[in-house]
Amino acid sequence: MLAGRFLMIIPLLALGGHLAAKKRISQSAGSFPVGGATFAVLLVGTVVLVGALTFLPGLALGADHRALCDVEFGFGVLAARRRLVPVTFEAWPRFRKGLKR
Amino acid sequence: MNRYDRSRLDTTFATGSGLLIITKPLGIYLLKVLDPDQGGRTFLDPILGPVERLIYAICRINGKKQQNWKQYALSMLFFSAVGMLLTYGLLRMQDKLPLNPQSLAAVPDALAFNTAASFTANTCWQSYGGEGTMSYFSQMVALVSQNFMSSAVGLAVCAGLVRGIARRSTREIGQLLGGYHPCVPLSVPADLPGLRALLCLLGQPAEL
Repeated sequence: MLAGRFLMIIPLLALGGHLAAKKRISQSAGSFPVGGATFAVLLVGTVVLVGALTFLPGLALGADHRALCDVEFGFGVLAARRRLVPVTFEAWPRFRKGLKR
Repeated sequence: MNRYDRSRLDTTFATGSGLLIITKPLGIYLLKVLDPDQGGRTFLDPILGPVERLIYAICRINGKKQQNWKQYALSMLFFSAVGMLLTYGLLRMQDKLPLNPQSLAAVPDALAFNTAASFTANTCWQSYGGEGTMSYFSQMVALVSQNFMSSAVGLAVCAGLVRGIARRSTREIGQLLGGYHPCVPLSVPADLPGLRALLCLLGQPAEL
């Protein structure tokens, strides 16, 4: 949690600091216009693409992934091995009840 | 649609319209608080100004002094470290502190560290049994204050980045704890019971 927060924050501040040090350059033929449709399409496209990339792997794995998550995979396999019974997704609640008893 | 779904939908609409209503005034307020070039004065200054100056006087902070990004980052790290240490200490000492009618024992070291780290990082991972582990004092002083301090730190970092983008030809991105640090002028009004109650009405549950 600490690394997740502060290792993100410090490069961000560095970025801010270095951007602040930049000089303002006047508009010329070489600069990229940010007011037009090209920029809007590029920006929205990037946002949608990157957003989709976050979700697509999960969607592609679909039901298998869901089953893996719900069964508390690591613990399920360990417990199943000890008893030498395969624990299926459907049988898991019953199996866990048995463990508690 | 059953009654439960209906009430959730109502809550969503209420929250959404509430957010729409406060967006513009809150945005203007944020700009005034966070951007010294805008004067940095708000309608709350007559009330909060003295509080702010008192805090600066106690902590010996020069609110007008600008920082470069390294000083800014160091201040931020130091502020967070002190906050985390305080939270950890309070949780470890809760059996000796007041407002502990259930005579709860001190929070175990690993759990106290985990809680302090997560509340400092604004994760607020409550890996404990709520009222069964934390005394009222721990909740009110250690955890709730971290809720405000850690989000204020996040806001200050965001403001530092935005000022960095907006400014030209300078090494300074503002003063973390000074002049326009959102912790004093912003979190305090956000803490007002009225706003808190409004957020509760809009479906934002209280943190603890």
